[in-house]
Amino acid sequence: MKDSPQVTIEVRNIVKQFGAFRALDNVDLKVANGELLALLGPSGSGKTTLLRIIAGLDWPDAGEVSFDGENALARGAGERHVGFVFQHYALFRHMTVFENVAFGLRVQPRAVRKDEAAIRARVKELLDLVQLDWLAGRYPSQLSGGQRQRIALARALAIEPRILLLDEPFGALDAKVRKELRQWLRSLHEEINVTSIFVTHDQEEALEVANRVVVMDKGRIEQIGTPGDVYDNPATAFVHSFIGESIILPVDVSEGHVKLGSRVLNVDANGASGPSKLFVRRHDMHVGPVGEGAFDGTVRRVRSFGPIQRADIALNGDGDTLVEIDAPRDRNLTAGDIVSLQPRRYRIFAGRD
Amino acid sequence: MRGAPKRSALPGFGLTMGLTLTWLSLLILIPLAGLFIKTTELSFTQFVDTVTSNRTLHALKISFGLAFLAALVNLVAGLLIVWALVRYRFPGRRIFDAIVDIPFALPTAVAGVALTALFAQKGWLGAPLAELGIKVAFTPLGIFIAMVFIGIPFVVRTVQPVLIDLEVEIEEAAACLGANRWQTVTRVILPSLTPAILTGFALAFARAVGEYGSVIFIAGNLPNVSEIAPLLIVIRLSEYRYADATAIAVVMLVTSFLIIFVLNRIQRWAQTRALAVG
Repeated sequence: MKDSPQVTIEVRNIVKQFGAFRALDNVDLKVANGELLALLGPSGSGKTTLLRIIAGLDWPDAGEVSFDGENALARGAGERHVGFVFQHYALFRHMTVFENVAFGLRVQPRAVRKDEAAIRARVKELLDLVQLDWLAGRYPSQLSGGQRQRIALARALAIEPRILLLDEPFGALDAKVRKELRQWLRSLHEEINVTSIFVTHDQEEALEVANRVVVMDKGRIEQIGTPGDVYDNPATAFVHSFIGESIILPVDVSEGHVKLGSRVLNVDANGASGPSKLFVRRHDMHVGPVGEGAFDGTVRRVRSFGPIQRADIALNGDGDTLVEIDAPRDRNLTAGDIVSLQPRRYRIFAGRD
Repeated sequence: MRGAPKRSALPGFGLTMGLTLTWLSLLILIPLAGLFIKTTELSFTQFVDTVTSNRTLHALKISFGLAFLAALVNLVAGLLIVWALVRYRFPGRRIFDAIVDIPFALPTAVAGVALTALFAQKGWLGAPLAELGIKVAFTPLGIFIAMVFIGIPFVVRTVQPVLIDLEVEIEEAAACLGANRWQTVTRVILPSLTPAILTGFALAFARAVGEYGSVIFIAGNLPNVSEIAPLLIVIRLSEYRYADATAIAVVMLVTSFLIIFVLNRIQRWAQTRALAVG
């Protein structure tokens, strides 16, 4: 297993249309050997469609997919040696766990099929790998969701896939199991090191598990980067609002001046102009004495938990705008205080939609 | 609070159970018991003579044998129809789907007349078949065709919902694991459908065994050739030989019960494999 072949996956100009809906719009992506990549985006962003095209379960209307320089689109799903893990497990319910895992080995053409003893040994090895060898004789209906998904993974690995593709693998599990399996997937990947792509709409999952994250929206790739990159340096307004919590203020930029309503803010325009949006992370908003920040506001409500206190602050002179900020616990805030706010890090993206 | 009834989130067990038992007794158990009691008017030797007479044995063989064959044919044809109706979208699909129910809804005598007219020696299908030397009407072959006709909806309607519910992902998983289409069908899809297929088979078989109306028109009803057991019962009744009639009925009843029981066990076994509990 350690020497299983690894592939560079390359996706070029993929277009996929479902009726009038453009699921993928000119998508380009390269995946390096041994990478653990997350496709992250809201539902309808095209991430699952992209995964299914790579697997050979869907076909693009235009574009290319290659594995190690070889055209993958010329091959069907069965010939691509891809391990696919489904959100709802898709285990064969009339077969035992053992037979489920053995399936990929048993359906091989006679010429290359392993003998029964080798199949048994291989299945045993995989069940050990997912730490469920004691369930070999059970049927899928007797397993918990987390166990089912680990068996589905063992089944996918049985054929020694060149790539492992996981479609919302933890989406059907409850929060606690999901967290455990995240850690487990991470360490499993370190152990077997198969190039893997998983789809998720859960940013925490993507940021925690993947080496690199691909953020998608409306059939396009918005940003590709390390988890740190996409969080700290969002490339687009979408990424900034989708990943992490942001304060978003509508601003107007003219001649380098950034205006919120009628008030000129003491921030840099970042090269934007016209109607724009100002993005600040909650914890990047510094609370100071009146007059020292970009804008003043009145504290309306404060909740404290853990190391932070979260405050709703109404911006002065702009009655309705309420922002939610996170301040350190030692910065004592009480409702009614008038304070100033200064974004320490912020981004301005042109456009309002 | 001694003697207070046990509380339950689903009250009404006593009432529903009582009604169920009464209903089943009135409609099924008491009439069947009457059948057995009537048979006891015959001495044991008379009973054996009646049910082992050539004519009776032949009629039973025709009924059960042809019903079994017809159910087998319906199993295969029904599966193909279900597959086409569920998996493909073609013009007229809904109409074909509705047509499947016609043998259900049609009065059996109407079906019998229609089939007889069609397969009679001068009928649309009967004439060309007669030229090939195949006689359908008034032969066991005719009985078989009538039985196939009335049995088809049972297989289709029991398997159809199960196939609809079968996730496409299961097949995709098999494909990714390298299974070819044939392997996917035989190792993944058919085993998942087995319990439903067996149910459909049992229902089609039971219906064909008991079928009377559509069969007697096309059968010709020649003793020892194309006479079905239910008809023989009717003949005995019209001869006022009630005990003889019930003797044949008892044999049919017990045989049917045994066959359905065995099918049921097989089906249970297939189902526990799929939904294994403990």
